Amino acid sequence: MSRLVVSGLTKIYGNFAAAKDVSFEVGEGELVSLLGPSGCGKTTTLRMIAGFITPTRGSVTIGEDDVTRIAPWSRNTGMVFQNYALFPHMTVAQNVAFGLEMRRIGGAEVRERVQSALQMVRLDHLADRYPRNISGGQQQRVALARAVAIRPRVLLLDEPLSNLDAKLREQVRIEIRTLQQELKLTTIMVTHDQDEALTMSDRLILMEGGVVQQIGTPRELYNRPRSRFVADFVGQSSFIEGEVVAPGQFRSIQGALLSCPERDASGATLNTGKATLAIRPEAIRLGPAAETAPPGHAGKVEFVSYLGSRIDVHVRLATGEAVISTLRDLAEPLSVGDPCHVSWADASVTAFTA
Amino acid sequence: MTRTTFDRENGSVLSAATLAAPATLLVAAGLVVPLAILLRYSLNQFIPGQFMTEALTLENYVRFVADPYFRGILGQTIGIAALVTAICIVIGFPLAYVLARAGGRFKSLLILAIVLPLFVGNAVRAAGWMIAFGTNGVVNYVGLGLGILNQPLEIMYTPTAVIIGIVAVNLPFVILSFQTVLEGISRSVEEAAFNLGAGPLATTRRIILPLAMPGIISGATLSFILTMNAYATPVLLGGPSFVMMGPLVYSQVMTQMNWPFGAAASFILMLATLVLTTIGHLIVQRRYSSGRN
Repeated sequence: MSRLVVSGLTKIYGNFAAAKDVSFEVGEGELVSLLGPSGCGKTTTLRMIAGFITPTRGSVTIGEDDVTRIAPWSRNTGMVFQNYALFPHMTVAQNVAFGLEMRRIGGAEVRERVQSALQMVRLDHLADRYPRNISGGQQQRVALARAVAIRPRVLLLDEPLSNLDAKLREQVRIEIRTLQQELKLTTIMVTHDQDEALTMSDRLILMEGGVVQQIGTPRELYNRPRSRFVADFVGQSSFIEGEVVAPGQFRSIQGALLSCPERDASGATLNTGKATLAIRPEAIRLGPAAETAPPGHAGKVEFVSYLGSRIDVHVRLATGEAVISTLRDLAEPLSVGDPCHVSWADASVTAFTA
Repeated sequence: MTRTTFDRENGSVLSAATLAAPATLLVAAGLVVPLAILLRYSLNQFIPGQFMTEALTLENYVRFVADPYFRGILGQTIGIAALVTAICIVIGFPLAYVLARAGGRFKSLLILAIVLPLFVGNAVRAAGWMIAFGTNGVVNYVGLGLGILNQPLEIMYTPTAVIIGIVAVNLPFVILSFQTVLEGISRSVEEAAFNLGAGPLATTRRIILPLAMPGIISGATLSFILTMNAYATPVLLGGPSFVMMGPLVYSQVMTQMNWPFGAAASFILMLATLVLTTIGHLIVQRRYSSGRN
């Protein structure tokens, strides 16, 4: 396993930049996710690392080797494709053996390594089946075994769970993460699913429009989003737009006067002018309409979504702003149209100037 | 409106038979009946001076098999068919691959270029080759003019001319049947092979060829059958000195007026084509049987 360094990676098609100056490092044995909406450049970046796309500028270094100009078949990366891309004319065992045969490894060792790779994903009993005769989840594990069997320097996962149903997805998430940590595989995973990224990764790289927006641990991205886009994409947020009228004082477009932090998300002093406040739903407290402390705002329930372990309540403030509050449980049932008291701690407010 | 449902249910059974009937009748009338008549003719006797004498004899078949001249023509035809098919596969496969992976306007243009020759009849195209290959033809004119050739090439009325001519006829069919299967092979399967350390050659041999085999078989079969039965091209480009089975049958029936022998020769041609294609299929199937059971 090796460290992966991507530096200044850029891909330009005509006058469209699919990836712009993408730089990051993945440490040995670390799992880093490339997260973002479709078209954000995450797949382009992954394909440049695998060697399927030649970058316009920038470099990819695996271990000590600059592989930017090296053919995909000489890079020694192991990729799990979104549609698995198993070889339909080969059995499960032959699929897993393929990469080893290409490395001119002897028959006995191939058999042994195929066996152990299949045992790792608990599929050794299906070794002689053809891909079309096993389920989607099993195909996914064959693809993983095939990529891991060659002992790649970097493991590349391209939306590995997107073709699985919801229940299986959570199980496979844990399996992949466990396997990755056991084998200490340096791994890059592309995903558009924030839950997947948050639960599986050591660190996340959030991309939008071909540009890296923020790199950090799941906790950092959730608690200290650097831009409105990050706050919006990772987790939920209530956004209130308006302007800073004086240090610590904010007036929303609808005219509500709120207190705001003196520094914005990047740590710079918040000057007067246009700004957006973001509040996480678990920081917003709801109480009976008669309540007065802590100081807050009058609101009216607009929508209640019951999600089992939690309840999301959409509230419209009397001044017109919309906020979402997540509750564990309701002390007394809230229904649409009920008045309520909305409050949040000043410290839970993040401010963005853009 | 209950009647409509009833009618529709009943009608579906009826319409299936109705739809299949015309084609079945056409095949029966257009293929089986003439073949049966031809088979009957091939057992008749030919007595010079008389047209055809009713008989039940195998002497026409025996004559064909016993005469080294006729056996030679059959062998020659099989040889040309095999060679033409091999050339078509080798030339056609890369082209079909490019076609399958191309997109947009370039692809439409390529398909047009491949299909366009089919709009011109075989005979017309063979006539075109005659102009190109003649002693004073385009090839020699250009070759001599540019100093590439010292003396005119003798291409007309050689196997080479016939092979070039038939390859040109067969290529569109072969390319199109390759293209269909190649388009069915997902690009990511190729990328997976690359990713696992297989270069383009290994990927072609281990992944693309086996997956494309059904299309290669059908394309090759088509080419082989077309060549075995080629008529216009060998007549025009092979001339009297290079005879293949198609022209042989024609000359027996139309020039020699020996219908029984012509009929026997065409049955031998059909049988040879059938047997060889079947053997070919079996061999390929055995080799690539894994995965398509």
